[in-house]
Amino acid sequence: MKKSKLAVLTLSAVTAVALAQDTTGVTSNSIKIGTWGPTSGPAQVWGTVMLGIEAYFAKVNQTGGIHGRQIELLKRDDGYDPARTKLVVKDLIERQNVFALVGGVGTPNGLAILEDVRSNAIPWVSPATGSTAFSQIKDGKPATPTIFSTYTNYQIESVLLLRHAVNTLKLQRIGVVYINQGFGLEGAKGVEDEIAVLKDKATLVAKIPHEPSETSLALQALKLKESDAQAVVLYTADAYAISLLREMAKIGFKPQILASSVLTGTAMFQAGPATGWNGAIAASFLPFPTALLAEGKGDLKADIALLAMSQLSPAATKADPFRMLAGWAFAQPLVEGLKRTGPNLNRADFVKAMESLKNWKGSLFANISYSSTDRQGNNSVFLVKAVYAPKPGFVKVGGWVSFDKKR
Amino acid sequence: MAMTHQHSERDLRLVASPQGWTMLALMLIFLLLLPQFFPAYAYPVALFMVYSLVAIGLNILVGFTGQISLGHAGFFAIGAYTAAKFAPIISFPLALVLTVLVCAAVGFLVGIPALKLHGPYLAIATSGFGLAVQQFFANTPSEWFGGHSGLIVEKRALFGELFARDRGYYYIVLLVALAFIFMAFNLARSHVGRAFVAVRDAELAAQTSGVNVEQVKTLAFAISAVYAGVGGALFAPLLGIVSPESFGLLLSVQFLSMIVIGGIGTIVGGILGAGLVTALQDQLSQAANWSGLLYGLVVVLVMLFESQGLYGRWQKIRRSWKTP
Amino acid sequence: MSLEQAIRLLIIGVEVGSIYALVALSVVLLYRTSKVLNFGQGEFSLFGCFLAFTLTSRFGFPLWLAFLLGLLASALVAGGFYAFLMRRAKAQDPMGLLILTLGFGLFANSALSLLFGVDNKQMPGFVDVIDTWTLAGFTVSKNSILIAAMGFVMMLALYVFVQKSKIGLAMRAVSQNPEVAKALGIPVNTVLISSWAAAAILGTVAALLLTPAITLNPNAMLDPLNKAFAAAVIGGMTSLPGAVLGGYLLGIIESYVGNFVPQFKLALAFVLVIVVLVVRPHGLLGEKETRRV
Repeated sequence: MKKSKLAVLTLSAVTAVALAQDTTGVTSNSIKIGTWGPTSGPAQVWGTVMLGIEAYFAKVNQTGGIHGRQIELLKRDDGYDPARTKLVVKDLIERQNVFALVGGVGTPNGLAILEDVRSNAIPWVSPATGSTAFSQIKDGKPATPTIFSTYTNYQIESVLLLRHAVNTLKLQRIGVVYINQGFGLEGAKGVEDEIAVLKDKATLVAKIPHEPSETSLALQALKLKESDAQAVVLYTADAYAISLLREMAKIGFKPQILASSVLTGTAMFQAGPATGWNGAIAASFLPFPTALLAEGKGDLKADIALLAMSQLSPAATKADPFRMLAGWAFAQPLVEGLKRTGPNLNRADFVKAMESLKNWKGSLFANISYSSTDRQGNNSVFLVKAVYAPKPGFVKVGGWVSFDKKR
Repeated sequence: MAMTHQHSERDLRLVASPQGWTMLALMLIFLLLLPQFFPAYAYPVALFMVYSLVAIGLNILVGFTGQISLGHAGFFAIGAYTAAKFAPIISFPLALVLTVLVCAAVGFLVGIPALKLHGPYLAIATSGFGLAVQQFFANTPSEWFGGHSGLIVEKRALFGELFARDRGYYYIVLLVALAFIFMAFNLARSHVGRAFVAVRDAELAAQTSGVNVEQVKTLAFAISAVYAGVGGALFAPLLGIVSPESFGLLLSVQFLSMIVIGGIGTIVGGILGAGLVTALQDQLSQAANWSGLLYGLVVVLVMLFESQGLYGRWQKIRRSWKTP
Repeated sequence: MSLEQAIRLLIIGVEVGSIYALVALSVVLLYRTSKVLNFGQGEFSLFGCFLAFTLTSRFGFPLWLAFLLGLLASALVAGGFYAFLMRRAKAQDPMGLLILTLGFGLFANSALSLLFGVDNKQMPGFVDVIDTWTLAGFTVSKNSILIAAMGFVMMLALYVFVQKSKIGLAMRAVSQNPEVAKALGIPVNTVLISSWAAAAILGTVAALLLTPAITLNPNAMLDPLNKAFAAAVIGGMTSLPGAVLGGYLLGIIESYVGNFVPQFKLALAFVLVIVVLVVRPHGLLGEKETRRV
C-alpha cells in the first residue's frame, strides 16, 4: 500500500514537472491537435467521428481561431487495431508533437496508449469510449490528470432506459442482446447491475450475446421469444440491430425495444415500421437536430452544427448524423479549454482551464463540469422514442436526466 | 514453389563475406543506439522486431515445409496471454520459457491433423484454429484471462523503472529477437533445416531417402508456433494491454502477407516483409481515409512485379551490381 | 429440447445455410479452374450491389435492370481482375496469388468506402424481407426461401453447364490439367476469365439477395464469405454439390450449437471443419487432387 502511494506521489511529481510551461505543438499562429479512429476495416463507421471534429475546428478557424491561433488537426487511421493505435498516437505525440489529443475511438485502443499519455502528460479531451478506465480516480486524484472525459458511459444509459421501462411502462421481464465485445459487454453489465438495484420490480430473463461478425441474428430472436421478455435492451451496432428487429418481426415477437445511444442514427429506421423499432425507446447524450425528429423543431445548437457539417462533409452528415454530431461535441470542450487558457497557451494552464469548467452549457452536451477530483465531465442523458409518423424520426420523452457521478 | 529455393544455400549462412560482417556490425550499432537518437522510433522498431519473429516462424513453416497457416495470430495470442498472465507471478524470463513450452506443445498438436491437409483445406483449418484461440481467451471466465476486456501488462511492475517505457523495453525486445534470429539461421543450416527443405522440394524423394516426413512437418509446426509465441510474449508488455481484439484473422493474414511480400523461404525475407508492413502501417495511417486503399495497392504491386518478394528483388539488384 | 424447438432451430440453420451454400458455390467454381481462394470475392459482389443500389435509388432504374447491370459489372470487374492482374502477376505460386487477391480485396474495400460511404444502406429487394409463410405453425421467411431456391437453381444450372456445355467441358479440362488443355487447343485464358466472371456472378446473386435483409455496407459480405470458405472446405473444394451440402451443414450446426453456447458458435463451427477434415482431408464430397511430385 505504502509503496503504491509513493509511486503515485512520484508520478504526480513527474507529471507536474513535465507539465510546467510545456508549449509543445503551439506556435504564435497555430495549435496542433491529433485524433484517430478506424477508417479502414470492419469498424470503419466509427471513423466518421473524425469528420465531426474536423468540421468543428473548421468553424472555429473560420471565425478567427483561438487567440489568433488556427487549429491544425492531424487525423490518423488505426483500423481499430490497438497495436496500430499505439503506432499512430506515438507518432502524433513524439514525431508530430501535437499539443493535445481529442476523440480517439475504442476502449482497448485507448488503453494501449494510456501509459504514453500519462507519462508524457498529454492533454486528451473526450476519449470516444464509454469505459470508465479513462476518468478513473485513484486515492482521491485522477489517475491520469490530463484526460477529460465527456462520453457518457453505457452503464448510465442502461440505468435510465431500465427505469423508464420498469417504473413508467411497468414492464418486468427484461432481456438484453449485446455485441460480444467492449461496448456491448459494458452495456449488458449496466443492465444487470440496474436490475439488481430494482430488485423484485424486474427480472433479467435473457442475456444473449452475438459475435462481432454474424450474418443472421435469427437465433437470438428465437431465444428472446422463448424467454418471453417484455422489454429488450439492445447494445449492438446498427446493422445487427436491424437484422435482429426484422428476425423478431418475422416470428411475430414485438416486445418494447430499449436502445443504446449508438443506435440513434438515421440508418436504424430501415428496420421498418412493422418491426419493434416503431415505438422503440432510445437513450441519447446529445440533443437532437430537426433532421432526426419526426416532427417539430429540434435543438438549435444541433441544427447549427449539422448545417456547418453538411457543408464540409455532405454525404457523411446525411448518412450518419449521430457520429458526426458526436465528433463535433467531443471537440467543443477542448476549444473552450483553449480559449480559457488565454494567449499564453501551455499544457499546465490548459489542464487548469479545463478544471475550471463548471456546469458549462456551451456545448452540445447538457452540461460539462470538471474539478481537481473529477474527470468525467458529463453524466446527462435523455430519452427519445422512434416513430414512423408523420415521418420516420424521433420524438422526445422527457428532458435531460443527470446522474450521480459515483455510480 | 520450386523457384524460391535457389537462393536458400546462400541464405543458410548468416554472413558470407567481410563486407557482410561490416554491414551486420553497423546494423547492430544502429539498433543499439536508435532509442538514444530517435526515441520516437523505439516503439515502431520494437513492433517490427516482434513481427519479424512471427514472420521468421511462419517462414519456417511455409517456406521450409510448404504448409500454409492462416492461424498464426492464435500462437501469437497464446504467447501474449501467457506472458500477460504469468509474468507478474513467475517473472518475465520464466514466462518466456513457459511460452516456448506451451507454444511448442500446441504447435505440435495442431501440426498432427495438419499433416493430412493441403492448400485451401489447411488454410481454412488453421484459420479456424486462430479463431478458436481468440474466442477461447475472449469467452472464458474473466478471472482467467480478462475476458473481452483483456489483461493490462505493466512494464514498470515487471521490469522496473529502467524498462518502464518503450525506449527501455526496446532493449529487451532487441535482445530476445536477436537471440531467436540467430537461432533461426543456425536451424536453417542444421540437419533439421535441410530436412525441412528436402520435404518442401520433394516430399516423396525425402521420404525414400530416409527422412521421416511426418516428424519433420510436425516439428516445423512446433518451431513455427514457438517463434510466433515468443513474438506474442514480447508484444504483451510492449503494447501494455492484451485483448482479444488484437488477435483476429486479419492479423494472421497480415503475418502471411509479410512473408509473401518479403520472400518465402528465406529468413531475411521474413524480416524485410515485417519491416515493410510495419512501415506501411506507420506511414499510411496519415492518409486517413486512403490508408486501406494504398496498403492494398502496395501489396498488389509487389505481387505483380516480383515473384520472390523483396528479398528476391534485393538479390537481383545485388547480382546486377556484381556482374556489370 | 422439444421437437418444436428443434424444428425451429433447423429452419434457422437452413435459412442461414442457404446463404453460405450460394456463396460457397462461387468459391468452388473458382477453385476448380483457378486453384485459388479469392479473398476479394466479397468486394466483387458488393461492387455489383452498390451499383444496383445507386442505379435504383438515384437514377430510378427498375429493380430487375439494376440487378442485371450489377451482375454484369461484377462479372466485368472479376474477369478484368483475372485478365489484367492475376494472369500477369509475377508471383504465380498459390501463396502469392492468395496474397494478391487479399491485397486487391483491401484496395477494393477502401475504394467502395470512398465511393459509396461506410454507412448502412437499405438495399431494395424483390420480396419484403420480413414477410413470412406459415407452414404447420412454423414461420419461414420468404426471402430465405428465395435464397434457398436460387441456391438449388444455381447448383443445377452450374451442374448442367459444367457437364454438358462446351465451355463447361473446357472448364473441366482446365481444372484437371491446364497444360494438357492448352496442348489440346482449349483457349485456357478465355475459360479462366469466364470462370472468374461466372464465380463473381454467383457471389453477386447471393449478395443481392442477402443485403436487403442485413443492409448494404462495404463489409456486408465479410462473414458470409468466411463461412463460405469453411463450407466449401467441408463439402470439398472441387465439388459443387459439396459446396451446397457444406453450406447447409454449417448453417444447421451453427444454429444448434449457438442455441446452447452462443459465445462459442464461431469457434465450434471451425472445430467442425477441423473434425471433418481429419476424417476426410478433401472434404465430404471432394476428390483427392493429383499433386505433381
